[in-house]
Amino acid sequence: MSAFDKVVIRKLPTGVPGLDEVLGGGLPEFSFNIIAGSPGCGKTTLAHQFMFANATPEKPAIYFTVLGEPAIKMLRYQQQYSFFDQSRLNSAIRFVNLSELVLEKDLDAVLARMIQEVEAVGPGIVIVDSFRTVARKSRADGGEVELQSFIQRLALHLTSWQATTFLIGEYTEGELRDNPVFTVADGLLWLHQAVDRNSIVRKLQVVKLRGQGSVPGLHTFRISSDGLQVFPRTFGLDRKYSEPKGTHLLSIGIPELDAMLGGGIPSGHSLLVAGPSGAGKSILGRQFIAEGLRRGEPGVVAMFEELPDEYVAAAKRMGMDFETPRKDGSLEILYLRPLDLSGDETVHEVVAAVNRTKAKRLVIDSLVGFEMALAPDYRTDFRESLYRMISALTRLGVTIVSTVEVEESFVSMGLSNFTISFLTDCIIRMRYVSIDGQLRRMMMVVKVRGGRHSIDLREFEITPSGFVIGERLRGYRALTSGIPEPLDQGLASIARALSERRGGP
Amino acid sequence: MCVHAVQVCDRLRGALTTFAGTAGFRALLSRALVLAKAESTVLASVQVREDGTLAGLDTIVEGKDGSLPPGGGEGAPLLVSHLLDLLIALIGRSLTMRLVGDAWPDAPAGTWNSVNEGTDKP
Repeated sequence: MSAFDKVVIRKLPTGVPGLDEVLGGGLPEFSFNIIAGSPGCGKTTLAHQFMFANATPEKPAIYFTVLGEPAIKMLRYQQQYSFFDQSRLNSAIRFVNLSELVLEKDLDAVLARMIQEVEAVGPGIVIVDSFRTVARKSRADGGEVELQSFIQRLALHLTSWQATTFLIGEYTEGELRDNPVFTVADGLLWLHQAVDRNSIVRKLQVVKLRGQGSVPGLHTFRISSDGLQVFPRTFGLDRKYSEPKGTHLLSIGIPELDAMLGGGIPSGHSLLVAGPSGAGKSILGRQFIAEGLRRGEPGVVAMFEELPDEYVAAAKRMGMDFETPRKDGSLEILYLRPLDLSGDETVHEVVAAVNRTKAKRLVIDSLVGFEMALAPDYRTDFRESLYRMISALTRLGVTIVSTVEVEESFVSMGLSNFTISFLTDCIIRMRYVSIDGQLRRMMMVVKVRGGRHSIDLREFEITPSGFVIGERLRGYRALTSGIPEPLDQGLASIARALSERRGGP
Repeated sequence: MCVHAVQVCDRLRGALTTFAGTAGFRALLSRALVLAKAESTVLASVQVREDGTLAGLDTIVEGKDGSLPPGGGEGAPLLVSHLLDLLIALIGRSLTMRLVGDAWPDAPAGTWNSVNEGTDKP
């Protein structure tokens, strides 16, 4: 069979932001689908979004209500969502109540009524809410075979009548096996909802979808006044063009630090700035953004600990104008601090801002704040979300500077409390050192993937105009411990001689 | 006039039963009847049957001679008014008028516009 002989299955938009991407482009037309999940997880709302996105007077939707949420209450609540268009009622969307029929008659009578309605209206969409009650009634009557036959005939009839169908049901995962409805279905969307401490964690899974590739796994979703929004784990970036990494170097705006990095941060790389509180990590991020703006490179700052206006004011005090680029759209400062965020949701906000501004530079300040903004259950996925975000964005050519606070120890020098250094291409470590009765600042470049970098430990200061990087700290041993001791002068001269023989400074 | 109001109730039953089910319509009409009875004693004997139709209408509809019992003229319109108010309180004026409109598909365009201009009850 040649490619020309294949039937082309149209993919219908679901009306749920992010869900089409998870489904692999939309929902196959004329498919027979199930939306399953526990009460309150958004099944009816999802079906309504699909219905309002697709129903027309020419190809209307029939919404059969069966002993679930009473139709009056359903309308009372569903009309609160922004997608609910009252003008479509009766012309494009018809509600039919089958409750009494299900209670009083057998499945044959229910099927006959549904077929009667379908043949009278010729709908493009049919929804049965809740189908579970139909199945329960059948089981109570001892009619397992009757139920299977009913589902088979319903699916056959609705597909023949070119209707895309949703059966909505409150199922538990244990019911996946040996349930005829799941066998017959072309698509099975499972909505999960769990309470974790004080947070609600909602996730969607495409358990089954015939005929097209969907994105596997669990995708977080949120229900707002706009209905459901799904946050695909691919962040909408999978199929986009990838730029080769490291085609050029990006200046941080601090010439000495650029030199320490071997000329700057290679484009598309991720730089982690690790250090204790007050060391200057956020200021370095600001200078990186300001330098980009100066060179015409748009930027995004994702904040978790400071309000955008405070951030802009602090930048202004250092002579950086962030107001103008914010107004002209070349700089977006995101404040991401609501509770119950999922990692993927946060990343979607960031990716959307990057796409809006066409950003070349991104600052995440800080990863500790990022993690704390997540609902407890999502924190276990934090590293995975971060990994996928950094991979996706750097593939697009965005260069990322992330800050992370490190709990300072005076016996060792960790790079991060998160074990995330594997996510980064470059690492700068800042730390305090106690010298001559002063707590001074020191920084070093620990890693630049695929490039040469300085191995010096340099003292630095933060002045009203930003970073001033001083000379290499000489004459001390155990500098990285934070409590160095002066080298014996004799030993110091030997060390200097050895260094010079190796060609060092 | 009162016969017409009862017919309105019947028409509404047809439209609303499709959408809310017989039990749903019966529940709404029963509530409306209780509210209407509190305002008019002529409805005292009226009841809602299982299928959503009304029983005991003798006090509110005209007899064969065209005469009405004292005060009977107000009963049926009061009941319809409470039924519509109840729907408006539950699903809003706009949706109510759409559902009501379904009961009179042959009504000229714009029939419901003037009714639709009111405000929803809280």
